[in-house]
Amino acid sequence: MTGVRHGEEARIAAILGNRAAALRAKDAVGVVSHQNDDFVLFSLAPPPVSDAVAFCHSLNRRSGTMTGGTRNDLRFRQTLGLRRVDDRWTIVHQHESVPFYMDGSDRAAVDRAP
Amino acid sequence: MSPTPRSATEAEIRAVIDGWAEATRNQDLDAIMAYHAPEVRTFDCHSVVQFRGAESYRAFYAACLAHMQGKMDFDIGDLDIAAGGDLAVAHFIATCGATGLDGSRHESRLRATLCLERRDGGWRITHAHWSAPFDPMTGKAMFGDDAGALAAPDSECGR
Repeated sequence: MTGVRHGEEARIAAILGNRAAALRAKDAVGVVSHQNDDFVLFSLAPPPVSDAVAFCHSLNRRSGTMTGGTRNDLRFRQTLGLRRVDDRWTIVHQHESVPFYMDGSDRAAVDRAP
Repeated sequence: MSPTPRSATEAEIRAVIDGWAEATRNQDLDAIMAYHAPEVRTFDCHSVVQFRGAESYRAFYAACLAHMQGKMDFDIGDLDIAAGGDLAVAHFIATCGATGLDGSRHESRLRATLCLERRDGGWRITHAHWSAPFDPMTGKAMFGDDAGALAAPDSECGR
């Protein structure tokens, strides 16, 4: 991440930093702790209306070793949508992807370094 | 789309998306790009990781349209909008259908996220993310109903 961040932007950057750290530690509870309930559940009540909305987009890299020993290394695009509810930023939408090749193979472009 | 906006801002965003979707159906590149900010950053679904700026994205879009003929089908489903102040995030499932120059029919279902910012009284797309999920077992993108298979809670996470 680059640039000087102030106020709400700095708070969101801190959340994303904590979330990345939780992911590295394989702390699933920590990863989802920033997600709005509506993110993981089909809520019965409409989400609270808030005046505060934010979004982030980034190129990420996630790597690790599967239980079977296979090394997994993925570079992907990520877009997050956040809402501030009760003075807390929560992730309400997450979009992760890799592009696919248009050469007729429909292969996912997992080997494209950003 | 079911127009049940929770706020005046959300209603504005729905109207913008309606207009942009119609321009997309008509394959009217000038009209489509008019909805985008000059500095728009796009994660499209085809081949390229990202486009920075409307100019490079327009060139890519034009190249795609050159492979199609006539109008395209473009339907938006499961639209959800988070809007507040001068920012909005919309996400939906787009069902697209187009006819190639050789008359072949192509259909796909894509995930889409649009981020919009209010500019000079109007709204402009400043970030767009398009994708198809891929099956980690085959390494291939999934464009149709099979894409729902991985949404099952007991599906294996291959990433």
